[in-house]
Amino acid sequence: MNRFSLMRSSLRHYWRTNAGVLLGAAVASAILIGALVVGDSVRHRVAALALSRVGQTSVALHTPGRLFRAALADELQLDESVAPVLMLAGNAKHPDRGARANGVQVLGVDERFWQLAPRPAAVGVPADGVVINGVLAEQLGAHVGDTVLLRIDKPSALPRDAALATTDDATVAVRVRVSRIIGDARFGRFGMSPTQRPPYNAYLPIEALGELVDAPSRANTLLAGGGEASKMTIDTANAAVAEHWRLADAELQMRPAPNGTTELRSSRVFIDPAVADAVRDRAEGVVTYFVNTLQHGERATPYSMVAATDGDPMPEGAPDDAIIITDWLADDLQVKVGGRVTLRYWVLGPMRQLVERSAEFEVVAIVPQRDARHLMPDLPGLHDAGHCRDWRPGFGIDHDRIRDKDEAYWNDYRGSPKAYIKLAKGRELWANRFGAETSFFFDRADVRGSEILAGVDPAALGLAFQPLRAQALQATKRGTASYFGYLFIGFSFFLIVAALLLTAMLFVFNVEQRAGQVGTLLALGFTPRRVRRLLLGEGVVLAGAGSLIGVVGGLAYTKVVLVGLTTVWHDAVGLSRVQLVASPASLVGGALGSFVVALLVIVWVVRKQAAQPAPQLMAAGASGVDAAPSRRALGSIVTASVCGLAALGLLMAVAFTEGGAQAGAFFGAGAALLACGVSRVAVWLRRSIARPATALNSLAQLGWRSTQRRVGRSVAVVALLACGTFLVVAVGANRHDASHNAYDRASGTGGFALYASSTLPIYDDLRYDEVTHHRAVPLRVGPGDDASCLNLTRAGKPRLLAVDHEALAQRKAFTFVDHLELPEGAHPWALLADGDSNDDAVPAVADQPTLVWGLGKKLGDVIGYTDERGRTFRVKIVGIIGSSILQGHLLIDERAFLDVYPSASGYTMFLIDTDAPQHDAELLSREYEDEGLEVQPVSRRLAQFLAVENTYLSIFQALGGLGLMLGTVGLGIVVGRNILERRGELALLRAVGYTPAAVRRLLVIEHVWLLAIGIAVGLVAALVAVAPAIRHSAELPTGSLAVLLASVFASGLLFIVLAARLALRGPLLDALRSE
Amino acid sequence: MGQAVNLLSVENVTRQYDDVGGEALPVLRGVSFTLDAGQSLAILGASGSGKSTLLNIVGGLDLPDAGRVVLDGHTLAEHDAEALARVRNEQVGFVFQLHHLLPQCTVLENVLVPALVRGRAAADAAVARAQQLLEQVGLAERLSHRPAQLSGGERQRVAVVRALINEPKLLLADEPTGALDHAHAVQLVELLLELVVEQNVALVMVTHAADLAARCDRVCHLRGGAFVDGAA
Repeated sequence: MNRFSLMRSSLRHYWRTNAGVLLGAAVASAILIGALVVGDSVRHRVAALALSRVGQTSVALHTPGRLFRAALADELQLDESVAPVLMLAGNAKHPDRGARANGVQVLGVDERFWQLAPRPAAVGVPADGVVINGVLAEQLGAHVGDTVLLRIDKPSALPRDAALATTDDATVAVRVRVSRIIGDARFGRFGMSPTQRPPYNAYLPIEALGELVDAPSRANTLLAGGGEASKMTIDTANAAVAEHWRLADAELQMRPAPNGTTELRSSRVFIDPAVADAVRDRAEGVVTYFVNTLQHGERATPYSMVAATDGDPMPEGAPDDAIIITDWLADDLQVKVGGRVTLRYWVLGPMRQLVERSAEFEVVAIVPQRDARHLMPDLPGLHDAGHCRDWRPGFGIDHDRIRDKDEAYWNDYRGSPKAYIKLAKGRELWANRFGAETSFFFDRADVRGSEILAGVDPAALGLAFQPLRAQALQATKRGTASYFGYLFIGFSFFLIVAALLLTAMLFVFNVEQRAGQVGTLLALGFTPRRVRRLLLGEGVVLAGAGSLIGVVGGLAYTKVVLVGLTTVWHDAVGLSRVQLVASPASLVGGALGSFVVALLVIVWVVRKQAAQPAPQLMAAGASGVDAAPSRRALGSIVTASVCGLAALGLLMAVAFTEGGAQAGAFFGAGAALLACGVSRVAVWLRRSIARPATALNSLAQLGWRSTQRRVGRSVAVVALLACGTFLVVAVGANRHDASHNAYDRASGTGGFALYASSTLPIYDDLRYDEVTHHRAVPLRVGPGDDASCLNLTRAGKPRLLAVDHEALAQRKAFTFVDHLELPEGAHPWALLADGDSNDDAVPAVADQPTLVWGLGKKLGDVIGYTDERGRTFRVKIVGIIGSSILQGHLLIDERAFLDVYPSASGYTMFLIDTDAPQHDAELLSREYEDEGLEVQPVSRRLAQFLAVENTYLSIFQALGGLGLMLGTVGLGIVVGRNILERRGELALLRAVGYTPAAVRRLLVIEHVWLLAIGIAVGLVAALVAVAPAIRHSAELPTGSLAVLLASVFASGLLFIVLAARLALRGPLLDALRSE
Repeated sequence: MGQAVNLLSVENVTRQYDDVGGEALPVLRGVSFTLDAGQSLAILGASGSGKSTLLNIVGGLDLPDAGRVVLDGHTLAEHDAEALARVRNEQVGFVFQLHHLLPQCTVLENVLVPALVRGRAAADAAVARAQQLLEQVGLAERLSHRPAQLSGGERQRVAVVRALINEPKLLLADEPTGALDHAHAVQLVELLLELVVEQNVALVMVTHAADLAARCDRVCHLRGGAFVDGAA
């Protein structure tokens, strides 16, 4: 016989309780390991999806809104594959089925693209066909051979937002036959944005697509790389661009001009500032603008070109308001030198509204009319018109104003300017976010393109490679997917705690059961240390074996959870398939973690038990009640009083706080009330046992009195049930109902009725319906990633939304939970315009989930962005609104947005106020079908975001509920233990005439008290904690909570009855024997 | 004039158990005795002689394999479990070697526990009797004390009062002094005998102690499952 054989025989002898301890440790271990492995599986899946999104691509150049030559791909002479892609927005429709898909990526590709697929292989796309990906096929219900209708955004060299641009003919439609449907392996998931949700992709031959959208041989994206082994860096790729790009890649052209000069102009009409800055000191800048009216007194000349130049014919030293007119104009206006001429012209006002401005000039010279048509920029709808009546620019032309002499002038001189003003004045009047000059003239004929481009950084025009693959992997490492395992541990927290408490409880009982034996060992000369080691040795074996069983259990648990995550909890991750992937770190770490925690619990129990003196241990159970109730009651009184006062104080503080602070005060009050409630129960029980009581006269009273027998045990059961109930109810009450207060401006819907988003930009603000007088707040959607909770990957640069802050401020839309200091009386939305006067950062507002979960940022934090010209700028969080339909974005003011993204054109998001939502939704969807406008009630949009949060809450509730159920198993064990300890007393009751049913009833009543008190304390505290949530934005899911709590009560009752039955089994009367 | 009926009549009671090997192990072999109200009977015997088994059968906690127990004219074996429980509650009082007091209840409450079976009214009605009996046994000042605050002798006195609370006709004491020192044991037996007379109940007391047994009206020796001195 040695220590080990003693341990072995003890383990064997007390196998029933040991099996319980083992099971408890195994459950805790399984849940911990399971949570980690769930995290592994989700992370692995998201990483796999990220890689299938980028395929073999290492770096990518993507310039939405600009076009370059597709041939640049070859000219870069990079060592690895380079594929040009023309990537345009579009929507698709199955004409036969009527099914639609908005937000389609229409990709013009060639064979080089397919070589960058995850599994490279030739995918031939016939010239009249289209390849689509699986999700698009599914959405449309399309099969190979079906015809689909694609409507595609037509790129425009002149940004469509420019004052003189046209928005007619902004899209093109084409019917194409589906030649193939591809999956992820063949690049079906290709996309630039990091998200686990697959895009709708339609692939056309790049040449065919280019022809279709009038951009032959053009591309806006370059993909380069060679898979995992790629050595491609963005520096190498960008250097290659700088070396090999040409004027056409910067959308510039050079052509000979009169007098041996060379003109530099842009198909974008206005020359990019980066280019202008590079050539301004070497060439003469000119801006030629379309003027609505040239007026002198009563006489007016309609629709003319006016050039601003410091060169010929403008003399040096001319005054700022000088204007030189041609004799044709002088004659038409009947004006002489010294006369005043007024220019009326369009500029782009807020919301893309054209605003007519005017400026007055003094005629300083009259020059002969000459043919200077080369000065007219290539204005779409104007420059190539045969007659004035054929003019179709992007703004309103009153053709009735055009006279015969104007038609004759067009025939003779086309767009030759009729007047000239100083360049500085022209810039002042007509410079805009797209540029200031329309041409530059070099004074020689032999200017080379490389000479011009030498001083221009391609990145300034958006021609810069980004590390697509690294960004994709980085996004998966930092997003929700990266910590989903820990998130799941959070969801399972109460379940793990319940399992550990169960383990502790069982081990306590195990040790208590052997208290006499421990006392005997001590009496026989064993040192307390030796006894502790003996018990600990058993604990190590049990905790270790439990952890190992937990590994197997954890994998099984993971399987079940993954089924849940891809079905009923699908909204939590948005993945339809997740394979079980367990990393050794999770298995070993989880097993070790659970082993250590279980062992710590056991160490604590052993230390507590072995600390008692031998005689007390040997006489264990003699008194049958907890010792020193009154002294312990004092501690509970202090705790209850402090917590009660804290709860009261916090509830009073509610009156002086608002928003988040108020919710915090409520929650704090609830938590304090929970602690107070549990302590109060302890005081109650201890006082009841310490003070003389009135005589018993019912079984219920006797049952209640029995709860005071082991106050510590009773309080532990109450605390476990109360905490569990508190957590489950408090968390459950945070479930948000999107339709709750949907029309309240302060709600997450902003009080808007409809939310609309379009695939293709819309160039007005939907103000067309005079019947319902709906009003829309249009938003521009900038580049960036989806930072909403729908995206499991971390958005590095959340998408910027540009909004007219006044439109939101006037409506007092949404609720600010926090913001930077604000001038008195100002609405927080004004911060978007004013921001922080000491900081040049662009002020931004985000909603709370985006900031906290999507970005991990807080108020005042700054995020770096790169603007359209390759310059970095800072965006500072100046305000936070509550969970809203704007989730996933940062909102900045429209003016600030256009400063950094001048090429941004049109609006693709709308928040609509209307009294007739259904009618307007149908009307707008029809009217803007070509743009792929999708209109939905705002509450539905909010519900999509809330679905994630609510699903998280459902998981927490379900697992918390399981934890509570486990708690009720613990209650059953306590019942069993109590009965076993009191078999003598219970036998006595039988002896004095209690029937078995009466004894069982007594035991059930006794423990149902604990069950009911535990649930009641937790419920009341939780209801206080979530009072503001219930009052404001959330709706208490009374149905599910009632079912859950009823289940917990029923489960508790079941275990009590079962335990009572089991423990009362056998010859109870034997316990009366003296022996 | 008919024959007088004894309060308790134990007739030829036999009881055997199965031992580990499945063999029948006789514990009682045809035990018989009678007892009337106000009488006390001590049963002496060594450990394993069948004393407690006999007491359990007399008190309706166990049933004989053969023979019968008639209490107040009713054969116990003819009662179902519920009726037997009622008999134990209303006609029999038990005192055991271990007091089996409920530690969470006061002295008074412990005494009232048997009364709870008959409902709230009965329990309320029993309070005065409980107080009176406790006063009688010298525990008037201890009504609101818990068992842990009492001495061993006091606990046993509470157990005695508890046994008497429902005014039983028969008091069964299974080695009631086993956990007490001699002085306290003598005191307790004296108390029991006083109460037997005063309350007019019959007492059957099982004990090891011959000197205590001698204080009873009659003494029987149980050996090998039978009275060595024949029917008592």
